[in-house]
Amino acid sequence: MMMLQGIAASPGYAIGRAKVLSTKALEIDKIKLDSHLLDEEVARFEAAVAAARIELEAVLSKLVAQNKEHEAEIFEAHVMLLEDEELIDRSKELIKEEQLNAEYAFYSTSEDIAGLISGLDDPYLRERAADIRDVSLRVLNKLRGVASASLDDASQPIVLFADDLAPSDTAQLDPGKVIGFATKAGGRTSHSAIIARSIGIPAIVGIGAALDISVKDGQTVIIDGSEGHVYIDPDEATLARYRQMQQEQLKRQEQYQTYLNQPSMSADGVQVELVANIGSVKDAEQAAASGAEGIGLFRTEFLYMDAEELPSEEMQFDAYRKVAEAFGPETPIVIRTSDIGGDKELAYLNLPKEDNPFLGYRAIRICLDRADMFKTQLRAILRASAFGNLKVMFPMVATLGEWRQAKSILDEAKQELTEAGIALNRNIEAGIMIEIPAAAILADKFAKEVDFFSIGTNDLVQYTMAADRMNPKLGYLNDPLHPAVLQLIDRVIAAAHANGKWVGMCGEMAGQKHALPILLGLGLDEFSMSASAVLPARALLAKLSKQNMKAIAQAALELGSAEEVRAYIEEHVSEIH
Amino acid sequence: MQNSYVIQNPFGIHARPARKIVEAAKASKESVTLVKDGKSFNAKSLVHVISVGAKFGDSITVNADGEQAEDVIAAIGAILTAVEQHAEKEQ
Repeated sequence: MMMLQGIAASPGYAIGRAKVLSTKALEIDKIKLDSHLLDEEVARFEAAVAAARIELEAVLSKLVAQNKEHEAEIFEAHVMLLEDEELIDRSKELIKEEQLNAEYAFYSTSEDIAGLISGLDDPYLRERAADIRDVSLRVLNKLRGVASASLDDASQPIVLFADDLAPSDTAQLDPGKVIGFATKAGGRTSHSAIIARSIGIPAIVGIGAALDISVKDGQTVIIDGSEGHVYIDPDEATLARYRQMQQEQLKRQEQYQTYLNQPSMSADGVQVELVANIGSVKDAEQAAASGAEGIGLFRTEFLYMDAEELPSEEMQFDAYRKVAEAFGPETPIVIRTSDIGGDKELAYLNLPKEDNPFLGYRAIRICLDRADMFKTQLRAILRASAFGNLKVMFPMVATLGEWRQAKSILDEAKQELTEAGIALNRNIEAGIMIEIPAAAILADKFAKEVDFFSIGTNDLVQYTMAADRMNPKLGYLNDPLHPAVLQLIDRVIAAAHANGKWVGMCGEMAGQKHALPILLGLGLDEFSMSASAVLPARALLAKLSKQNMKAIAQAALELGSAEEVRAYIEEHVSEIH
Repeated sequence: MQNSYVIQNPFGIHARPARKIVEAAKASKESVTLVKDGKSFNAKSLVHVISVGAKFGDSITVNADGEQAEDVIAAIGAILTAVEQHAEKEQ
């Protein structure tokens, strides 16, 4: 047995077989064949294609039987690729005319075409290059006699090991097949970690080079995403201990499931909204299945970060509409306009490197400066507002002037669309995120003009405490339970309610068990969190009396440190245990 | 023979219309090509049709020979000028 320590990125336990995703480039030898071997080589190639096809069709029929049309379509397209003239016939020509081995002929043909497609403008079409490479790998594995180990047809659940997972990789993870993952790179706030939390599978990141030599395909592994431990080839005692912990976790989850279709209501009958933070269309579907009553934060920058140029109005419209459709027309969906800059760099915007990116040119500051880009996004959101209950939210607003400017660009976009006869919800709610202490302090002024607030605690804490949240040495300062932060939150909620406006929270704090009693007591209306946190939060909420929590919250506001607040809640709110 | 069309689908030629084009092209025994900006693509190959990267408003010329040329060109033209109401659920 071997134990590796990484950063606990997403809680829970997974016990399963390891699958190591190698990111090393394929090594394909180029071999010149004697002319009398060519027919045989073509036959070998055809056999490999046929074998790959049989494999794909088996997966396909399984998916069709499970009514997974969406996934099935991907495999249908892959089967079609195996019949493609330019892919298959061209490879055969290369074997015959250039006297090449089948591996090299097919690899170079598919790479040529994948390269051509990855150069296209359209981000949707560019994705198809990945399909070609996927099919290509399957055929190459057949040629080389390697069993294909694609994730899609894994018959058993697997634990994935990789150097790193790109956001688009993680977004495509199916929690039914991949029960956990561990990566060499990354931190707690890296995208793969955020996505693991949102789909609710345990994950460990930042394990480092030790991962390379320690784990092999097929080994039994345990991932403890709560402690950041990876056990490779665990002994019986460890396995037994984790099976026990897994059982208990499962039991808790079953209890949570009973809250799936329940209203989010406190013990004394006060209803609040429990909604989810999402970063992609796929997340929206997951969130709907996890009991979220809507979306409190759609982080649209993923649309910008997965692309190599500014996403078009059409592409954004499509994404926003799909999110609206994942929930239905009445469900509130809060779309945050792009929060780029800071730690989220975009090569195509050519933003200069800054010494203090979190205090720099980012989010609404970029948007107001680049009104063309901003208006494209607002138009897309407004067009999608015809399909659901969308709300628009501006991030990083510090001054009333910024809010008014953003609002006037929104109004211009409304006007343009109306004049063009395009459907939209003209009364779409517009609000701001409260992340900057200046906005929290002047919340009473903002509350007269906005439709709602959403408190972004991750940034509000780092700006209030002057502590970079990415700096691991400053972890002790980044505690949302600090009374200075709690007092700002109290102030924001009071200002909004005095003006008849609602207040949400979309930082990780909203789903934390020590914070929830305080937030309920302070009168927060909407709690937005990782989808996997929604049911545990609803279960806790059902045990708490809002009336009692008011006194608890007031007492917490009067304390002097985060440690005191935590200890106070531990002692006085027995329901969290 | 040949004919030119302007793409009417706001989403351009994505995987689904591309597949329809390949199916239509395969009805002909002769070669069928799509030409965009002077570059020629094999209409019987899905990967080639996708490689065209045809977007809303692009002009595409369809070339075909043989007996069924007229039908094949018309069929592909209909796909190129169709307005798809729903975005594809690709991703």
